[in-house]
Amino acid sequence: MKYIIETTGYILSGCSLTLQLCAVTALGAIPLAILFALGRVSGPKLLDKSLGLYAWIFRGTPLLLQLFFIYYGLSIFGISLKPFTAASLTFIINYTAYLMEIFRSGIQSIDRGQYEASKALNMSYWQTMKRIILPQALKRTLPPSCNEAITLVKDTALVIVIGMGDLLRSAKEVFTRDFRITPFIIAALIYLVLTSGVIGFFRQLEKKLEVYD
Amino acid sequence: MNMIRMINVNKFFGSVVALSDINLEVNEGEVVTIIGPSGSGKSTLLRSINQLEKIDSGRIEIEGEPVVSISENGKHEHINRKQILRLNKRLGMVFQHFNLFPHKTVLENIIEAPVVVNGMKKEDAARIGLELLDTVGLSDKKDSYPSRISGGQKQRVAIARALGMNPDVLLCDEPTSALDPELVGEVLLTLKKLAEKKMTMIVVTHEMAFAKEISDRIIFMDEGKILADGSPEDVLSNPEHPRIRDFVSKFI
Repeated sequence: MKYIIETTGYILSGCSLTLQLCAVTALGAIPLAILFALGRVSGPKLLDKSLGLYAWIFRGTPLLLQLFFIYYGLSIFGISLKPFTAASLTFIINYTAYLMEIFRSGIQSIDRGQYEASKALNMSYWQTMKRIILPQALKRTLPPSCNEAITLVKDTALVIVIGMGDLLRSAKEVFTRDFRITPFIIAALIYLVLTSGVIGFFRQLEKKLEVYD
Repeated sequence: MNMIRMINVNKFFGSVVALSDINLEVNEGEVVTIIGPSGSGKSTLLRSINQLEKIDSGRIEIEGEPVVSISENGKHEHINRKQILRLNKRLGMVFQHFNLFPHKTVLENIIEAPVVVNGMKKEDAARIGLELLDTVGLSDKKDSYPSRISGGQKQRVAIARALGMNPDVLLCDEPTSALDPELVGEVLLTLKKLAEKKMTMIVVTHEMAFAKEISDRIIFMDEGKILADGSPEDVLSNPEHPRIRDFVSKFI
């Protein structure tokens, strides 16, 4: 029992990196993705095409490769980033691409009549988007966004490859030292707690917004 | 006073003529209904007044000032955006499918534009909103979401929402076409009350009896053209044009 508590404590110390990375990614990617989605829907064609290309590249290549590229690859050009900076940057760029497409589909699913009513009431583009379209569109995209959030929690484990110590790495260290399966089980349980938190958060949000259905 | 004026307005959807050389004037306090077969350009005409549809040529004036003016060769006359906004604010619109904001309560729907567009204080807007809800008989629904009320109630809320911006002209695009038959009456009654208060209205409708009852003028459209423009008796009772005779006979 003492072993389990000590091991859990050690693994949890790696958990703070996981959480930090998730928070930074969410804070960076969500606003960017909304802005880009609006750019795709209402911007000039060239912007739409460019953002489409961006989504194509970052959804179409492995996140691990992108992480290598930004951390190791860029150093060839004299740009050397700290591991946390490189990881944050990679995750934000990657998740923005996915979320942009999710939000875009949400925006495009809103009935034209909503735009027409807003225009007939003389609301500006930004007023219409901020107050009428986005609240409805974002609500519709909660289920796929929840999927992305869960994936994000788990994807953060990839930062091991650039030498960072997250919760999975802590577990691996204990395993290497003690050669026992327990640390992996503890790590799995911690991931389950984290992802359950994410699911619970989204469920609450959906419930709160259900009132108008 | 001249509230709406359309001069030589043309509009095409590809090679299809949607509006063909439309000339129309609507005066203050007048109730004008537009009737005609589907696809005749009624809704397009109405929607071009508040620029939900872009016209290809012609000129549209609101209260004597242009909101759009395009010569036959496609040359746009420059009109200040502020002027367009100021003039458009004189117009309110009611849609066939209501287009209420589903994520906002009935009262929030009404006060949204006065607060956000006109910068009115929330309390003042709410007070006016409640008065408007009272006039359409829905005070008890102020905190309901649109999904919880009937189609007829939705349209009455939509009318109150349009009136919330205190417009001089109300444009109604088939306001009862999406309603169950038993709900049509309450909406027509609401519009009739507005007509009695001398609200300037342009109503696209298929309700012949209603058109006859409230209209100062009836306009008959077919294939993008105005075929008749006159008093209800002139247009409906002794139609000269065979297309109109044909159309009217279907409703008797």
